[in-house]
Amino acid sequence: MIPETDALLNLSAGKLLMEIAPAMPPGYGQGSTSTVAMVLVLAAQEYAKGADTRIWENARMAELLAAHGKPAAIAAASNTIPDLNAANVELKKRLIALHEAVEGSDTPEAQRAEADILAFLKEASDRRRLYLPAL
Amino acid sequence: MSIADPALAERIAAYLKAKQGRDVRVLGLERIHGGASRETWRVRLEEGGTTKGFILRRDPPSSLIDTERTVEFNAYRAFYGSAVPVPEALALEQDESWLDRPFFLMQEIENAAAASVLQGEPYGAHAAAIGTQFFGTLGSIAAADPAALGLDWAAPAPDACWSTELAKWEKVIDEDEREPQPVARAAIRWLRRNPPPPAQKISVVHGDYRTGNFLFREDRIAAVLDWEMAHLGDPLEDLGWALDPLWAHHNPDRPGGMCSRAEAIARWEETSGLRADPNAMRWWDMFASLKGLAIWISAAAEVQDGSNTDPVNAFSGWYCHAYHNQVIATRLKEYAA
Repeated sequence: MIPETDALLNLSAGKLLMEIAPAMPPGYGQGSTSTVAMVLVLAAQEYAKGADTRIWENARMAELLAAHGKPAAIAAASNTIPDLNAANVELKKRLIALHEAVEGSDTPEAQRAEADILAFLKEASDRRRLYLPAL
Repeated sequence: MSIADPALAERIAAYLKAKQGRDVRVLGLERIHGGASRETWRVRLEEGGTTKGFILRRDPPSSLIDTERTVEFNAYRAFYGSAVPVPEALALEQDESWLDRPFFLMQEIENAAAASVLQGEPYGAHAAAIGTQFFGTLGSIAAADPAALGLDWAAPAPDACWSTELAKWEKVIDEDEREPQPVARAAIRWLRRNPPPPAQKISVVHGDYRTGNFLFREDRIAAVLDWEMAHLGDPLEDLGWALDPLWAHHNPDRPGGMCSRAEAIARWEETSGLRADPNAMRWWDMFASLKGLAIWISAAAEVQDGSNTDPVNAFSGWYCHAYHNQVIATRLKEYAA
């Protein structure tokens, strides 16, 4: 069995960063090689959590919209990343519209909706955050 | 140094001969890695037995941000010889026939380095000294009189600085987003609902004043670079950008990887003669992260559209976008609580 994809991406990044780039003359080529290595590090993290992040986001946005009077019958056609992304885009459009509608209103329902949306945006951004090794 | 592009080297020599009557031989030419808003080349020339170093800044085929090369060139000219260290700007050429795209030439600052935001401790034991100069120099930019510098750029009214900048960057997001941006949109609405006080004065705003955009030697800042987003506006805009956590080298308690936020602001206030009002800073801090988000949205669009696939755009359009989304979402939730 070959290593998992994220392990291969991290291994490739390590080769580029620690062996190949240092052997190149300083300049654009060396810098770009190191940057490509960093992109591979990000891709490894996305491989590991990308589907889970999107499935969670889509389910939570659908719940929020339904809970605050804007149900949306949007479901991903499959759990492939492109299909999850397509549903994610449609749900985000509706979430933005709901956020605009409730913002600034002083009704308890609107305030609850805004608090729920802000909590969702915070948690979603935490889950989407990517990390880099300090050099 | 090798000659990475012999044809370009010949054309640079031909340009200097035709425009300035100089007989030069290009000894070295290499592209410098860095920002994607301009191609930057290091040029080593021999002229009359003397070796000289220049920097060539050329428009890319497609730019991350629609920046104005004349603005950058004039900013270097304006501050050269002042308390703000900059390289000498030598020639600006708009005629694309010379090097395919407009460009300008400036003096090379030799034996100095720029930090990468990926480095944990770029300034080592000199962090405090660099921080004092960094925020002090930013205060000097804020204190300068744009008219006395000969900069006749459009000046917004003091109470319109914030709305002018917000509209500029909202337009960038409108044009470049390739998917809905709920965090950016929420931030834009928050910024509009909670305007800052009017600017204390209209100053030169560098526009991208941060760690990584200056050169240093040991404990001294040698030159402030990357003025392509310079404009007139509220000087707190630059302070908010310089203090943004993205530039903190993994330690948000030490802006720029240099000193504490309180020390940075105290030094800025000392040299600018202005005050960084906390309420105003709350707005400019949020704006700085939104401006970053807009830049990263543009970077991602460049890659997605194939118009500029420099790896820097791929990296910043992904990592930095996710970073600023989290910073902004965290603040929005805190401020609403």
